[in-house]
Amino acid sequence: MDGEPAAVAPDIHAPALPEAVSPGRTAAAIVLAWLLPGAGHVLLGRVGRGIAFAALIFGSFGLGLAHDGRLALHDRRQPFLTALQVVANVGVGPADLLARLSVYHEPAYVLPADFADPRYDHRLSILRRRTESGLSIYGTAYLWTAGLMNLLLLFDVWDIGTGRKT
Amino acid sequence: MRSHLLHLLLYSTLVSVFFALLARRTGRERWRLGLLLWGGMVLGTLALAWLMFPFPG
Repeated sequence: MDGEPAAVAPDIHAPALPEAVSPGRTAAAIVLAWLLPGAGHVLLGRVGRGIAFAALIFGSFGLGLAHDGRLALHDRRQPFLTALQVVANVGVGPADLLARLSVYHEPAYVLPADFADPRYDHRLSILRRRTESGLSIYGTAYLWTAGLMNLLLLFDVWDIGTGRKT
Repeated sequence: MRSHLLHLLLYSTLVSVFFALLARRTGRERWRLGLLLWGGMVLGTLALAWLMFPFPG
């Protein structure tokens, strides 16, 4: 009819835009992704990818522990580098805490600044004993890779949740 | 596992598969990127190892 704009036919060849989910669900997925690698993707409906990522991250984490990988302790004498190392470890989620409880027999994340602190000798001796192994450098690479890969996955979950990725 | 070569191959596989899944959507694209990354890491590491060979250990 006159005055009405002509109807535009939808472009059937255009790729479908990914759908965003609610911000709350996205936030929950990001938290879940850190707590349990791969679970954030599953929560957003990407079950296959979630399972694949979980296998990769837990596989790398398991290889790291099996090869005496370094569960880093923050050291005030080298604050920046050791902080990065701890972040790389913690990226894998609560599994890192369980590993520290198993290795250090306590939730150890920091090397005490006071040399007289009994925890200093305890934690340092465990760390040194563990890294004496010739394979420890590989174990450390696997552990940090697991953590850093999982941190990347948090961003992937965020992109999926906000509709930037399918 | 004590073999340096096996660790190289295993680690390269792990990282390549991860990034192929993360960055690509179709199977074909994933294989392509994964093999490219894997080859780059393995061959690059071997090349660097040979370049360092003359230096004292």
